[in-house]
Amino acid sequence: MGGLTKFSSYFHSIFSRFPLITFSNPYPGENEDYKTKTVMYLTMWNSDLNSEALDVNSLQWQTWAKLNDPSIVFLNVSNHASPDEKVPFIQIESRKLVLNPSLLQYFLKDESTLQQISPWMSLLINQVETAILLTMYLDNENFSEIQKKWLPNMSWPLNIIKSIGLPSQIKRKICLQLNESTLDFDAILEDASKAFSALSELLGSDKWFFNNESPSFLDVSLFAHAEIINHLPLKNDQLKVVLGTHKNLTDLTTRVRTLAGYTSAGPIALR
Amino acid sequence: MLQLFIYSPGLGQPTMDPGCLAALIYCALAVPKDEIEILRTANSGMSPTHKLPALWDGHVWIGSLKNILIYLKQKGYNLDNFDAKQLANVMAFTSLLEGSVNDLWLLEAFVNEENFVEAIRPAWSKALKFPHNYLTPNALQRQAKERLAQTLGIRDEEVSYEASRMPISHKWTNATRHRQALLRTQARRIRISSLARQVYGSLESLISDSKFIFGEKPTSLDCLFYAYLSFHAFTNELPQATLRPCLQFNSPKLYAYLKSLRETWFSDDSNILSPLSIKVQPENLLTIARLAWNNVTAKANDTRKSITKFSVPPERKLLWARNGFFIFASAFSFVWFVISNGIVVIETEDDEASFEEVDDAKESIQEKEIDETTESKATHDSSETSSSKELPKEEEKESSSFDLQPLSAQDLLFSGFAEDEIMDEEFGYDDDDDEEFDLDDLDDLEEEIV
Repeated sequence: MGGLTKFSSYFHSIFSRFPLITFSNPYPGENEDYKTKTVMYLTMWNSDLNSEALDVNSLQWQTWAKLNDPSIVFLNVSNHASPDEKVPFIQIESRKLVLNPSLLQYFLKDESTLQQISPWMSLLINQVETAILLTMYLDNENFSEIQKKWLPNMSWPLNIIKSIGLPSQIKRKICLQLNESTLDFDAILEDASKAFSALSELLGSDKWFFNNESPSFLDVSLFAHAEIINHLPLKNDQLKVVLGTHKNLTDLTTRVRTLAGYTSAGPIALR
Repeated sequence: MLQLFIYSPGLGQPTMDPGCLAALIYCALAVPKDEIEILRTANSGMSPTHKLPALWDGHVWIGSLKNILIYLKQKGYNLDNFDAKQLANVMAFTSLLEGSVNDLWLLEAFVNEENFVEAIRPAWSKALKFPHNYLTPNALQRQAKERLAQTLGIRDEEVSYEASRMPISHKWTNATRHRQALLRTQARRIRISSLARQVYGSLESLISDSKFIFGEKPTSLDCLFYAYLSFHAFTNELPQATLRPCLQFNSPKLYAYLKSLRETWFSDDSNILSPLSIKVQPENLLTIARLAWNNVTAKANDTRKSITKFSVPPERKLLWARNGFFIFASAFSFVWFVISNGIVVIETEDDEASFEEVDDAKESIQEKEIDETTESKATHDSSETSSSKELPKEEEKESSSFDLQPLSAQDLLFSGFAEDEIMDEEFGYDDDDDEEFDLDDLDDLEEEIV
């Protein structure tokens, strides 16, 4: 019996030395914020919290979330990550998706505020955003500049395929938006100019639209459109000239930018 | 003289399209009645934008509502006298009307299938003539769905439900999917109501106690308000009306304003359209032919797309080709192996030819035998000839003696044998021949043995 106990303790002492080598876990831990917080998926963004997304819709909601809900986490994705290919969209605690058309009703729950800003939002979407898309993608000189400096870097031949298909997609989108079968470039740019005049008249000498104490969604939306226009690396810069004639709008843009805390901007941010 | 081309009336309205209605009201209010002519048509090809309303001023075509209003104002028919603030409001609310309000109407009229099938399509078909009554409603529905997919993110796949083709095994999943489709439909209606309430609230902020929006005189914004919102408020034929109750209960001021406009402009006492000359434009055969050809080519394209949609992918084609080749090669090699080794002989015409060759070989062998035995046969031939010569003579003698001699006892006895002999000879002739042949063969054998 004594010998058996000795043998048992001997084997136990041998096996207690294993495993001889222990490797560290090569995989990084999963980010818990993606499961417990709201994640907003942006596009054309370099994942720097102090940089703007270079897409109008993404920049609009990025700025709104920065100002109103700091707990939102941002991620950079392609537009194919969205079920309806519209970016941005949000995912709440990795359970519920809120797609792009429903973001306005999700974030702005105050109906009187929504009613107040709806006509002007419609003006921005139908006139200004259309002019931005037209200037960026349907002007040959500007589109070649954008391909060099603005669009995300892609491998060959995917970049060629995307560049070939993009103008026709944008043209179709604009035709659907304006309910027209042909596009009159001069008329669209003139409408954008009138829209800026109307917005400038609405703002007047106030600090924020409708003489509010803090920026509303209309201020943020105008900031997004104006920021994209100011930083477009374009040879044909009619929109920038038109925007520059309205000093109160450019001042508003500067105020929102300072409040949101953006430090770097433009095409350099993507490199 | 100006000519305004619009769609035909329907749904209780002077024209079926909101844009055409806005242009019609503005022209009726702004342009003197002797300077304009209204033409009802279904052909939108004449417009430079390929959409009605279209305006012809004797030397120039103007398409789309916005361009028409700008052109009329430039010519001096101007109802608007706005200051900067009012102009900004006009621009913003015009954009809202042409955007969100129009989207709501498209959603109610063309995307809701029950409304479209029971109310909108019959109304359009009744208003238009052949072939536009078959083409235009479906084209408008398709355009509406495309636009709403982009602006509001509304798709047909969300609310569509199609039962499975295996009704028994998929009984529960069919019920589940049907219930989910109904829930999504209900969610969509709630969302539409919410959006409509918000839009009507925005529009109601402009309504004041005065008769029109900016005072006692109508402006272009009043025309646009009535044109876009009257379809929401006064369409009675829709089986599933969501917008009208929402407008009545949530925005009573807006509804009252619209009713006031309708009584002002379209009542029997003071109809603004009465002084105008409204005609129907005759159809053009070339236009109808072009429409028919467009329809044919569109149908062909759809067919091609549907065929390519269900075509086999190239990877699967390659797999089938590879498998097929392998199977064919295996079968062919097996059959060739069997045939080439003579395991199975297939009787064909070639085989019959081979049999004929065998017969030829036999004949050649017989010829050789004949050549070998020429001398013996020569002698046999001579003997045969002699025997043949003798036999007929004997027969002749017997017959002559029988006929010539008188009958006696001996003659009677011999005559009976003679008959038997004659019979035997007749048969025996053949037998003798056979025997002769056999003897010849025996002789040959004896010679061979020797």
